Amino acid sequence: MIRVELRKLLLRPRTWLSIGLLCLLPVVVAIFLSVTKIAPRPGQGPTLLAAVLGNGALYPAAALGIVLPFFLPIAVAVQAGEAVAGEASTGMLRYLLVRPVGRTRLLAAKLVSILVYTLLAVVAVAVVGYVTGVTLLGNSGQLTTTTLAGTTLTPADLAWRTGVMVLSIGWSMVGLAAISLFLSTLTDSALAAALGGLAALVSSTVLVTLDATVAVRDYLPTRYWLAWVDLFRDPIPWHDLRAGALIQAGYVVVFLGAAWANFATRDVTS
Amino acid sequence: MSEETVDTPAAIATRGLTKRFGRVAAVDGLDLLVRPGDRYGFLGPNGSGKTTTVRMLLGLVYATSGEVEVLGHRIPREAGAALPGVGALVEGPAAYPHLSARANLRLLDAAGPPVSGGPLAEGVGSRRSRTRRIEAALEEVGLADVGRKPVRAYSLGMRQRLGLAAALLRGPRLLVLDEPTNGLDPRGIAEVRDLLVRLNENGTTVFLSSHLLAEVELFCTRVGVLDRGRLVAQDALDALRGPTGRTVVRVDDIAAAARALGVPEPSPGPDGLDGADGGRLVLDGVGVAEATERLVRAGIAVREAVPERRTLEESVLELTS
Amino acid sequence: MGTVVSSDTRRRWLVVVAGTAVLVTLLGLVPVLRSTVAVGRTTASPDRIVARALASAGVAYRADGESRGGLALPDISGFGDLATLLGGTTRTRIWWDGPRHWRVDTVDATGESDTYGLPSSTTTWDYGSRRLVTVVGDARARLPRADDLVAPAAARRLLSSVGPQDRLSALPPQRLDGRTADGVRVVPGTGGSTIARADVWVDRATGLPLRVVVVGTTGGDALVSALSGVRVGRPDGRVLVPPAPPTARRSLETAPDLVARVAQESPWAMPPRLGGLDASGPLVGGTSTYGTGLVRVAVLPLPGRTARDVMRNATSAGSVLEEVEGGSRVRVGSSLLNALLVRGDDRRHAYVVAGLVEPRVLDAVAADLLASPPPPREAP
Repeated sequence: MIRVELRKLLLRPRTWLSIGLLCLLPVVVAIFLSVTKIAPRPGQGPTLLAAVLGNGALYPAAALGIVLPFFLPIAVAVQAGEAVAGEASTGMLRYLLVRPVGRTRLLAAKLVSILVYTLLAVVAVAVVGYVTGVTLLGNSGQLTTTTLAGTTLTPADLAWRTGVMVLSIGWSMVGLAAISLFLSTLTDSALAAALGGLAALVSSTVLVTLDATVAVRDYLPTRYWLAWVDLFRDPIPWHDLRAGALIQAGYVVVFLGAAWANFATRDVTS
Repeated sequence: MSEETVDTPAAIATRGLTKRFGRVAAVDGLDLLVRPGDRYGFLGPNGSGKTTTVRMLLGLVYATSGEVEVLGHRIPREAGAALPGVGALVEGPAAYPHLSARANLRLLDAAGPPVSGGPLAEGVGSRRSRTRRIEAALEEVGLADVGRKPVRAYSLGMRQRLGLAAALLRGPRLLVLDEPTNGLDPRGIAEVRDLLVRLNENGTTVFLSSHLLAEVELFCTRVGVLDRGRLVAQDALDALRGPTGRTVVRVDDIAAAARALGVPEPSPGPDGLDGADGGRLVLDGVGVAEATERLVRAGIAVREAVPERRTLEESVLELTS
Repeated sequence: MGTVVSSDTRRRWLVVVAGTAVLVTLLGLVPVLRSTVAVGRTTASPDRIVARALASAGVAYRADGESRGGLALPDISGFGDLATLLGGTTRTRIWWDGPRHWRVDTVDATGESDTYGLPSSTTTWDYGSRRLVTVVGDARARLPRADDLVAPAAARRLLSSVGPQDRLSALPPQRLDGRTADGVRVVPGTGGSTIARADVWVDRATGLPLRVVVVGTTGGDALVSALSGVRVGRPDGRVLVPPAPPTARRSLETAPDLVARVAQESPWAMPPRLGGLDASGPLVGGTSTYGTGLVRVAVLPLPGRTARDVMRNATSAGSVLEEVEGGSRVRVGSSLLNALLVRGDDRRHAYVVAGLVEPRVLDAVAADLLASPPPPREAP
């Protein structure tokens, strides 16, 4: 079933269209940067963007920084919201279940497919970011890249840090995916499920910034979303990255569990 | 499963099957029995609970109470064991619109459990026989030369055929079809009917849910009639269309015949005089032999004397009024 | 609506709810339980605890720090990050090998500013401006930096100014971030302080102050600074070496900020007593401190031009210029820290008067300064 879901994912034009759109924004930003040479002041504008002028090798990180707060979550929420509700609205859900496909198996396969989609999207943005970064912004003369602490990164360092970043950003979407997947089993409207997931995301984003929520803040899904920046500090503080990964795992367990409890004994009337 | 049906369990058996949505009982105490090899017509007007029943049979909707057994397995608990032997078309076909018919069938087939009985490699659900089975199913429904066109471009009839092909993909022992001829032209309807007859003759049980009397009357051997969630009749088609106990005689001189048989002369109308064909008399409590004898003795020429039969439509209207 | 699978549904939801409850309990309750682990009573007196904290500057450790200030100061240009530092949350990472060999990173979501303390200089790398600034020597006076607010540094500064009239008392020991900490409370003994009390928790094993809470007289925590993830032991030496990024702008300075620059060149000889307070120490250089214990007032003479700029900045930040006997003043302040910008009518004498004291204490100092302007300093 997992293989079937993956094949469905890869055969769908929309998968590639959405990933293409995700990659487009960083390319556009890179074009503007290379033409104008005006980078935003540090601390304003997307993370790390300030550093990329003349330093294209850092652009994959900056590109992910651009899509992370908005476009990537939207893509993931739409994909996850689609998971069950989309099958329901095309009527395929009943035929899959009659095939028969176990309902729990279907959910698990859907989650794997969403994970693969997310990873695919993140990797695509990173790769496109690297290519545009190197071609449009160039590698600075000395070929050096520095951390936020000002120390020099070797290309090997940069490579593994970017790799971990890709994985950690991919994983940071998984909580949102689980929430949207759960909503997707509640409704037959893929749109409603995706919007519900995004509503949860926006609420979390708002709550994280409030000092009043200090007691629960550390458990909100977006709390550690920017922790990947830590990978470009020196020495790397792993605490937030670890905590973020654990929180996401917690959301997966809870909401996948809820999706399972709801979907496995729900009437399918679509 | 009862003692005497150990060898061949009923294809479908329900006991007291009930489904309530809120206060409304969509299906109310249904006792269906479909025997292996039946061509069962599940008849009822729109909104009578047919689709809900079909969904409960397939484990899509859970009953409020009652029991369902399909191919000897309890639904929903043993749906995983029962459903591989069932092909279904529920409330219209569905497919991924951006994929071709073949790609759709390929995905659907791969989604289910890999093997459903039989020797592993060549089993009806095996991976290795997949391409062959897809071609066969497309051939059967007349979509063999459909090519790589995406389903998006299909007509309603073609989609319906694709849905049927999906139901046939694994050589099911039981076909559960909900309105299978929707969107088909008369020729297509006849082709589907021929296909179902052929499958049935090869041992497939067919459960056909429809609101079209003609469809059921032409194809089915057993009929269940559903009205507002209740099963008002379940019998052989011939029994439902059985003799009414009355006799119809056709004569040239209706007035003379009425006098001879001692019945009042019918007023002109559907049952009375109708032109060149002569008149028609419906007799209660007089058999064909007796009526003929009495008319002949009175010197009245009898064109026809037969026991009266109801049409299926008449009995359904009578049952559901 | 019940169905034949209702019991299944209920069972499944039960599993999910129970699982979630277990998870939340693990996440939420375990830290609470850990902090209430029975803590052995302390035998150390408050004086002993204070002494250990003051002697802890040599304890090598690495930790993460967070300081939260509740001081609403106007953002006056020329005073750097003071308003953010005292009015917001500052996250730091600390590597401490001793008072002359350390590194404190101030970290925010998108960048960082790292200060390296070396025996004869401090070097600050600012990622945002890509500047590497080395300040040679130790300024007599300067504005607070992020590393001053790190719990051990803040605690030592606070405790070192405690005088005999301030009252010390022991607090029940606590578990802080997995370490046993002895608490001591300081309450100012004389009137005039804006500090209601200050609590300091000191690691029982090493004497390292782990947490400082300063509560103002108006209530509420005015400043909280704490360490977490403390690992005692010498940090990796490589971490303590300032970076040498090829593209950075470098500069070498002798004064880190406005205060330090002004303090170097102050022209006035300050009196030994102001507003009823005696000078805290010998009157060398430009900046002087008056008072004892926790009631202390710093007086910083300003050159005329600087004074005009600062006062204009302060008024444009919302403060009100008041005319008083002999000059004018602008009051800037918050619940805990108060400051007064004073300028004489001669336009040559101008000062910043500041301290963790009530405004009336500052007013008295300012009145004295305006009434009898200090004479010019004799060349050393």
